[in-house]
Amino acid sequence: MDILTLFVVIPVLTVVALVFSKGIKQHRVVALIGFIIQTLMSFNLIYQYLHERAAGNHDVMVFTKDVMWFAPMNIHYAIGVDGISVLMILLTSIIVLTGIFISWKVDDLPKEFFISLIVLASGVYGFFISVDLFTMFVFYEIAVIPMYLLIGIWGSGPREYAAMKLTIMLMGASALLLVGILGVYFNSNADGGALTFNIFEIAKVNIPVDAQKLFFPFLFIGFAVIGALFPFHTWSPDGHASAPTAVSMLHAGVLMKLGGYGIFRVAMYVMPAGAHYWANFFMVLAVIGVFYGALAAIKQKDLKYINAYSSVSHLGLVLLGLLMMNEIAWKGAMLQSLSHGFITALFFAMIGVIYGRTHTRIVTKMSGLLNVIPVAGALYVIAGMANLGLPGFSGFVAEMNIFVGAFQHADTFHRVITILAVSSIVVTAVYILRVVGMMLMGPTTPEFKNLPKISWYEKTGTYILVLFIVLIGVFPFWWGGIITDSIGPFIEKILTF
Amino acid sequence: MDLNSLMLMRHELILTLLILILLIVDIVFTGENKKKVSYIAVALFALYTLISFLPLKEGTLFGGMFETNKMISSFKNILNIGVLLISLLSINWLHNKTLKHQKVGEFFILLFASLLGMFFLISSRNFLMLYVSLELSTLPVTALAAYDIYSRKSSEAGIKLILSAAISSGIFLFGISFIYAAGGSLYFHDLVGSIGHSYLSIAGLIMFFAGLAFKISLVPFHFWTADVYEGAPTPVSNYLSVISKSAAVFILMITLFVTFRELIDIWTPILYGLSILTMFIGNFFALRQQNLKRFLAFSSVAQAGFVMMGMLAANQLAVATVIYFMAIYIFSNIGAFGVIQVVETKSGKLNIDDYNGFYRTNPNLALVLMLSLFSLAGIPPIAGFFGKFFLYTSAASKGYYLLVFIAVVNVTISLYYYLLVVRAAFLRTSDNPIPYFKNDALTRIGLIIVVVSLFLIGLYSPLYDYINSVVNVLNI
Amino acid sequence: MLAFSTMSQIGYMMLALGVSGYGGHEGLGFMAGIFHLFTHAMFKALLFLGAGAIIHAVHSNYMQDMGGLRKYMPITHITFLIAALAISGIPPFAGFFSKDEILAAAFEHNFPVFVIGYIVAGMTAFYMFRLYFRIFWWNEPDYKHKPHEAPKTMTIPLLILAFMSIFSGFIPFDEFVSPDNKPFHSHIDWTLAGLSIGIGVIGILAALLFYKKEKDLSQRFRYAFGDFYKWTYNKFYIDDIYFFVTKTIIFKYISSSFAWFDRHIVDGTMNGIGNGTVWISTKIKKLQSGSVQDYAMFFVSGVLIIILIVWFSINY
Repeated sequence: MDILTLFVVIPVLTVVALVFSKGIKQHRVVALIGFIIQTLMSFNLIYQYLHERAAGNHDVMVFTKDVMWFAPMNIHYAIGVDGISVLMILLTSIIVLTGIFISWKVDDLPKEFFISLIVLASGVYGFFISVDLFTMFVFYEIAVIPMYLLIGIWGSGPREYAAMKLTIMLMGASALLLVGILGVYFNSNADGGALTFNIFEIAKVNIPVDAQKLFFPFLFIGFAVIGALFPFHTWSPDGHASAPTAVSMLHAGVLMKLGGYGIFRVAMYVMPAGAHYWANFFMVLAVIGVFYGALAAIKQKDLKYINAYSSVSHLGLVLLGLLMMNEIAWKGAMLQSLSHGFITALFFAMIGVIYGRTHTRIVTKMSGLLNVIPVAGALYVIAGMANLGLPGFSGFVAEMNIFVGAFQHADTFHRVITILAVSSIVVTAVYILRVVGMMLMGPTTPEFKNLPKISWYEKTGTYILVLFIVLIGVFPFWWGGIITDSIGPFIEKILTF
Repeated sequence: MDLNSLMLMRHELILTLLILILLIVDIVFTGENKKKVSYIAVALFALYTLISFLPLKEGTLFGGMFETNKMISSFKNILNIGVLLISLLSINWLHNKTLKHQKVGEFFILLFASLLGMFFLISSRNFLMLYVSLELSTLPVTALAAYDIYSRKSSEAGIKLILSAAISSGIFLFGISFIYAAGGSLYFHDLVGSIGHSYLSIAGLIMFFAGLAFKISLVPFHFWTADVYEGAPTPVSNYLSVISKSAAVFILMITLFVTFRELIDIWTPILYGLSILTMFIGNFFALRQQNLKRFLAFSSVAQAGFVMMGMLAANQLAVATVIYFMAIYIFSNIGAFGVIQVVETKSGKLNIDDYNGFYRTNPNLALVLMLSLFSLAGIPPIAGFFGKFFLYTSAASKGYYLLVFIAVVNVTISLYYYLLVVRAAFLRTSDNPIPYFKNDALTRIGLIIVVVSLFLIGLYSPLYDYINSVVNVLNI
Repeated sequence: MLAFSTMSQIGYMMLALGVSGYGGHEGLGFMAGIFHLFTHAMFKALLFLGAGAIIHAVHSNYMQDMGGLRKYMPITHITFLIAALAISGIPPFAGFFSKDEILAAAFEHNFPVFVIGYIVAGMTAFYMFRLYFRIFWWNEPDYKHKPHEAPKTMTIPLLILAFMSIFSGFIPFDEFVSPDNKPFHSHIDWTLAGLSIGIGVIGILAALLFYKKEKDLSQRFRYAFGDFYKWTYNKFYIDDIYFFVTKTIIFKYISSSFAWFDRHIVDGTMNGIGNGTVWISTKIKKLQSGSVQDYAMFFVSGVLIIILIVWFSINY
């Protein structure tokens, strides 16, 4: 079994083990073991990957494997990873692992909860290792559907509504994606040769420019909906607000990253002409998302809504970085994907921790929590500081790269876009500090005088996340280096087409 | 014509023999022993299904009226498996106390007789043969629809079906007479190239099409579907929704692609339009159904729209994907109907709201239901996804991107109502849920086969490869 | 108070950069700016830490609650004094050198700027010493707890910074920093230096006069300046403008309307698509009447309509 397929096989085995385990303790332990294995595998993958690169392997994708699946349509199970996907896999494994810790206390249908979580994770892993559009699409949908059950069964508030809305909107997006994929597929023989779903085979072909212009928006929007592109982001606040903590973490931390990754790897890579043609249009939407998400976050009262809008804003930066069409901005966008993944997961984890104690997420109803649960409060502040781009944390590195990349365009249009995007940072500071000020500082609300301390599993989960946030912030070049190594083919294809 | 060439219709012969055996068995067993008839029927049918997988020669019989080849026999095998599953699942309903086991034998005899009709239908290469076998397949089903003599709805369903079918047959025959007038023959192969673009031939084509569209439940020929599915006993609705529909789709495909290839510019826009109409109408009606059988009826209407989309390409890919999709669809729908039927038999509940909290009392059944519905909705890694994806591919191969787009929009709508059922069964809790009950072994075997197939047909690609290999569009 | 002072000092550095131009001997301003940044870091850190120690001691942020602290906190007192002297530009403390160089640079290039800088230097001295006298001399308020010297963890950094504030001015900064990375030599123009020391001393004396003891002199002075004092007291209302902009405009109008827009227009559209689908579904439900005659009618008319459409489309 090759090193990548294991990422799909191990979750399946974990599911089987879960089905046969009895009692909540066994379920927890089995799920935890499964995810620890996956985390170790992802570390090993990074190690192997770096080893491979150090050994002089300069293929675009390493650890590739290609098995014919549906021969009549030339559909392959084709996998491989580059630096970007390796880091995304690491992100996924870490967040799922911490998610398990945070949802240690799930007691309603725990087995089903963990199974859904695992199916979701395996979909995400599969997505990141896929090189074949068909395989990728399959895994994408596998990742989306468990969300319905996860939010619907274990969520809170208007969970049925939120779950339905999220699923329908994301599936609607995948409908667009499908049209785009078929459009690419049937143009993949433009230079003669067979029809193919393989991204790198397609990339060798010059898809007719008209077809690129037609199908790029399908692929872009299809991926961008899950990346919360304005105005298709509305599933995200409701979905996040209703989802249980681990699911919010996983969803905002990982699932929403499929969007940016897909746009970069598929939409822009196979259709560079389309990307250049549409870049400015989507850039406007992205910057609206950035600014608008931040402003909308200020006024929210529910912690999860604040964070959901913040995600809209920060993922808008990812899209913006991608559309800026240069190396630094791309690097920034990928770093932002990573960094936002960790940060937002930490955020949602802390919201879960606070909510688990106060049973409210309304900011105005809480005050002075720092006195009662100092560790949780401090972690919340760390998440906030990282989110608003304080140097030393990951957010700063990522956003800095995006803005530096953005400023390389000297024309007025890009300047205006960039300035708007940069100014959103200020707004970010406002909504973060506002919450910190209202909720953590000041006199403690009387009914919250005696909240239980943060427990070991919550600590474990959140400390891991903080560790990674700091690691990216302090060693940006290590992470950036892995990404930069893999951006070469993109530059070659997209910028010099 | 010697005995050897008669073996070309092995499926039909064995099935006829089986029906005859059952007639005798039905007389032999009386009273409480009647129950055993059903076991014998299922056992014999299972044996027959296995035998039918033996390789078969290709050739024609009766002066070219009857043809069999690998594609046709493979499709017959698929139908066999479908009927076997329906039979397996129907036993728990047949042994239900209210039916008093009086007519257990009849049920299977009629079921198999109808299947026999289907087999002749898909093998026929002559319009008269086509008509006769269509009637042979329809009449037993109308009797089956009215099978539950204690239920007024069942009788209503029977009457509605036979009346609608009569109108449909009338128009169908009228169309055939036009075609004869235009082409001077009733043989498919003679008609190739001799139909011509006359008003007569076009009208004939459309009337003929309407007759088959009635079986497939394309809008606007679908109105009987919901009422009959709702009223008829659930195994019969199940049969109507999968076997009857698949056979009609198959023969429609052959006639359109071969006989009417000349008129491709006529029937392509018709298929295009009806496909969109069928998807939308089916989905819009399904959205607000409370009764699960009506719900599945409209869902199956919408599915027919997708099949039409796949047929548009009119090439090898289209035939292969449509057959593949129908095979998957058979399993998905049998799964969904099977669960509903079990629940209806055990608790009498049939509304979506009754399913609130279903997972917490009957997790396995709820899972089967969910997987079947997800397969219908086209969610990977369940087979339905692959079927749908290939249909899109087939349509997109001829550049029908707009239609594909409309179809995926419809898939999203359909996902909504499939999720409504999942919502009831999984998300909600109820003070008065469907109580836990144990299923008999046959039902369990049936549902397990369904679930395994739902995963296998999609993920295990050699099945598709096989279908693709037996399809030879020039040779249909 | 200290934060405002920082703003003023940063303004100074910007001023220095502004008058510097680039290259050559004109690098004086550039060098001075960086130099001031460096020295400022020393004594401003000292001031903040001192303030921290004081706040720690009296448990209050407000000057009203302080006074006469020199007796209780001698180390803090001395270090704070050093910092204040440094920031006022009194030799030999660090601030003198750097500030002097900025002023020299300004003098060479732009006289009005020099004048402003000069006056500001005086004001700096004044407000720093106002703070100093107000905290360490002034009448003692009624302390609830007796103030005490800060713990060692606080005083040791204070001492180190004080040391730096005294001597960092002697670092030959011009050796290290210049716009073109070539060292050049600056020298102290004692006329200018004298002037700037003078204004510093004047400021300090004025503060001494007003704030050493609680007198009504400062009150009278306040009346004399009237509106200007009020404006300055309210920090030129800049905070209020900020508050107005953030609280009222951004919070209340912009972001509320964005939030509303998102929930109702954008999300409303998305939900509207869903509800529209359901609405259509309700509307067309009547088609399915349940009567076979209707079905037959639909069937036959369906066939006819298709035939007619096809015939017409062939002909036209």
